[in-house]
Formats: sequence, structure tokens, C-alpha cells
Amino acid sequence: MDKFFFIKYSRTRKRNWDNVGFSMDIVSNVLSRLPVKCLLPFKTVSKLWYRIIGSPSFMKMHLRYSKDKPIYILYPYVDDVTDVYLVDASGLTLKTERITLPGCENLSFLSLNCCHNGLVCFTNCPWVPDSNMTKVIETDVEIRMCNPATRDVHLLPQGSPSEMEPVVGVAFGLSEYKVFRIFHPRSEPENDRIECEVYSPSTGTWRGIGSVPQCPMHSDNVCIDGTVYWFLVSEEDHEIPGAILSVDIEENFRIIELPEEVTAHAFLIDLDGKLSLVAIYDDDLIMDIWVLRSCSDADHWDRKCSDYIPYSIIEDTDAAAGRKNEVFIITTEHYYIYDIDRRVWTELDFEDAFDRNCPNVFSYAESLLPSNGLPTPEL
Amino acid sequence: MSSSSTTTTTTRLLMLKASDGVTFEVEEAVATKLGAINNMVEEEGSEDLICLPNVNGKFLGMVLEWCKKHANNNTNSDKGNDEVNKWWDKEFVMDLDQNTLYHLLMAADYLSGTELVDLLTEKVASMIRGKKVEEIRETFKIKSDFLPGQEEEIRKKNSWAFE
Repeated sequence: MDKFFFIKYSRTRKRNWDNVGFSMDIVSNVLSRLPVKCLLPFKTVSKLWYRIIGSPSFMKMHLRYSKDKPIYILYPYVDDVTDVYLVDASGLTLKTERITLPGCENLSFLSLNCCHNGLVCFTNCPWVPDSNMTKVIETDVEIRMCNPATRDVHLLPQGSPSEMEPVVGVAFGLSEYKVFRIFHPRSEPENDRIECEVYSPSTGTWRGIGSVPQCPMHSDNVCIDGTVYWFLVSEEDHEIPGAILSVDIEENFRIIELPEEVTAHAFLIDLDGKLSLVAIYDDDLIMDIWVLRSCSDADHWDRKCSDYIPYSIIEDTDAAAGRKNEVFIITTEHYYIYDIDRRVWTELDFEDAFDRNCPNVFSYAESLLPSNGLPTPEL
Repeated sequence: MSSSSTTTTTTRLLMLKASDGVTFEVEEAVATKLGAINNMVEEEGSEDLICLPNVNGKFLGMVLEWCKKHANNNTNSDKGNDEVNKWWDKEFVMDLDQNTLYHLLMAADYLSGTELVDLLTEKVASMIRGKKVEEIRETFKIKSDFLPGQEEEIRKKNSWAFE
């Protein structure tokens, strides 16, 4: 007997690409391979295309492709300029694209704290009212979630009053992000209680979650698999990191020991999905890269590589980021990429594309995810 | 077709029949690159003629040609296989016109040839990358179904991307 293999869609379908039923999956599949810049205009092709491009499942699929070829986002942190640069150093020629984020004019110095799923978190101290933008309130920060690819910026509501500049970190889950704000409550100035509050897009408000063992060194953080990691200061020297504080998306805090003593030039990076520590030992001109292996309660650090740095002792190392099997290093004078497998340093020449001052860099995969973390509105 | 010395095991042959009656005799290892055929063979065996009423002979032939190439290349465990496959895939999609591409993609999707669907969607993506909205509508014969003002509203939100 012959076998007939019929399928889900009818044979009387119209022969065109925009036919729902047949081609929804195919259209999604095709579009998910395109850059964001190309997709935004395509929202006006038809209602179906608008719906596809705005749907959470499509955004996830698109991000998956985008994460296959991550680039870097560089924030030179120059006075009054809120430009970020996308840097693609994977090809033979260095490609850079400048993006000016809207709604970030006339702010005090912005810090780029973290980057994940195509979203970045910027913080800055608010201006003292009526100070004519000359003085900032040093005990608070404005927090902005931004999507550089869609030029979409979301300012978070103000948090609780604090005695010191709050530290911020963002945990990215599968469908939502959570912003952690660690601060020193003003109501209890007599003790050193450090508290944390959490902002989630679905509620749009801050919610206190109680006290935190220690306050991180600064807001630079890295998020891996929904867990945020910050440095804690060393007990002996407050200029250098002594341990790591982590919090997962379920709001559980943990302290992780460092593998060995580090210097002030140590950085937490995401190296191919694993928390890694880049430690520069200026005196010996050595860079060590450690990778954290967490197995049932115990943390174990593996030294992935140790190599000489190609720059002199007089240069400071300002920032580091990881991408697949390479590390991006910014020094006071240079930009380098270190290939871990080949143990090769490559200097990047941006030909004076930008000045810099306390620059920061993260690995970056562009996405369509909205900065406010909320679904795309219906038409 | 001459049998090569590497295929010493007896390969079962499957009979596939396209919508226009054209039949193909292919090795099981080739046809099972297609998820739909693989499922059928696993569930019900491969004794009978398999009729595929949604694909005509021309496109089924092309899909099977792709499967054959990939099945053959995968049996040799050379390191260069990936490269060979990539090179061959590039050739395969290079000169496809839009009509053929569309039907081939439908056929590959219908037969659950995931890898081939990926290859073809990548090709379509490269064709529409950077095109203007009007060109997209023309290419895919899509009529705008927005209410007056809606299109303008979306455009305004991302005006920089339309420049």
C-alpha cells in the first residue's frame, strides 16, 4: 500500500510569502538572521511582520543568532558625550559604529556598568537642583537601561534615600531582567547596615529585599546565567578587590573567594559563558586569566592562562571584556585583543576615533529587547 | 550510479513519489536526512512507496540532490568535510531565482529538512538585507494592511532607522 504524507497546511494556500500558516515560521526564521537596523523599517511591511518582529519568541530567536557573533561595546566616557562605540574586531579590518543614545544629554558623568542580551545599564549622579548643572548629589544615582541597537532608553524610578552612592547590578533572566540597587539606608545612619532593593519591569517599582553581607566596590558588574557578580574590597587594602559578591535572579546572595591575591587591575568578565577573572600584575608584567568552576557548593578556580603583557609598567589597565576565547584590554595608552588559544596580542588602531577617560568595554550582541523590559504594544 | 568501495554495507533503497508522479529511488541514509522521511521510516518501516503530494518532481529532485551530497560527505570522516559542505552549499544556492528558492524552501520545510531550511532562509535573508520596505513588499507580493496613520506611527518611533 502506498503511503501518503500530508501535512499541516492546506494545498489551496495562496502562493506568496506573506501567507500566515505556512510562512510564519519561515518568515521568522529569515528575519531573525538580519541586523536590528534592517528589521526596524521592516516593521512597516505589514501587520504580520510588525507582530513577528515585536514578539518575544522572535526576539529570543534573533538574540540567539546575534549571540553567535558577539562584538564589543566601548564607552570611552568622555565629558558630556554619551556616545557608545560598537567595535567589531573579528574580521581583517576593524569596524566601528558610533551610536549616540537619545535622552542622555546634559547629564553628569555616565558610567556604563554592564551589558547583556543587547541591553546596557548606565548610571550617573543626579544634578543638585538649581545648581545650574555644576554640582551632583553624590549619594544617589539615576539608572538607565538602554538598547543601543534600537536607540531605546528607559529611566528607572528613583530608589530609597541612601547615605552613600548606591551600587547597581542587573540580572538577566530568560524573559525578564531585575535591577539590584545596594544602598545604605538613611533612616539608620548609626549602624552600617547595607540594604538591597530590586526593580523589575513588570511592577515598575523598587521592592526592598533586606540586608546584604557587604557592599560591592563599585557598580561594574557582569551577569552570567542570570547571576550578577561584583568585586568586594579587600580587608587589607580598599583599593583592590578581595572577594566577589554574587546574587542570582532568585535574589540569593553569596560570597566567592578569589583564587589568589590580585592587584587594583583585576576585572570580572564573561568568557564564553563562564565567570572569569583577569588579573594584571603590573610589577611582573603578567596577566593571569582564571575561570570559575562551580560544582555542588564548592567554587574552584582554574588558571586558564598566564602570559606577559605587551605594555609597560607605566601604563594602567583600565578595563577588560571577554568574547568567546579572547580578551579585550584597554590601557591608558592602547587597546588590545588577546587571543587565549594562540597566545597572541593584537593592538587595535582606532585612528583617534575618540578621546577617552575612564573607558569601559563589554562584549555585546545586539538585540531587539525593549529597554523597559515590557512587551511591544499592540497596534 | 557506481557503488564506491567504502559502502560495503547493504544500503536499503526507498521509493519516493512526487505530486506529479515522478518517482525517485534513493538510499535510506540519503532520504532520512529529511526529518519527515526519517520519522516515517522509523515508525512504519520502509517497504512501501512513499507519496509526497505536496512537492513536485523538480523540487523533490533538488532537495534529494542536496541530501545526497550531505549524506555522502558525512560518511567520510575527513576534517575538510565541513569546508566541502560549505563550499557545496554556496554553489547550491548561488544562482537560485526567487521562484525556485520559494518552492524549494516550502519543500524543505514540508519534509523537515532542518539544515536545508537553514541554508535557504540564510539565502533569503541575504537577499533582503538592507532592502527598502517598498522593495520587500514588491519582492514578496505583500500588500500593506495597516490602517491610515499606523505605518507613520511606527516609522516615527524609529525614524533614524529609515534614513
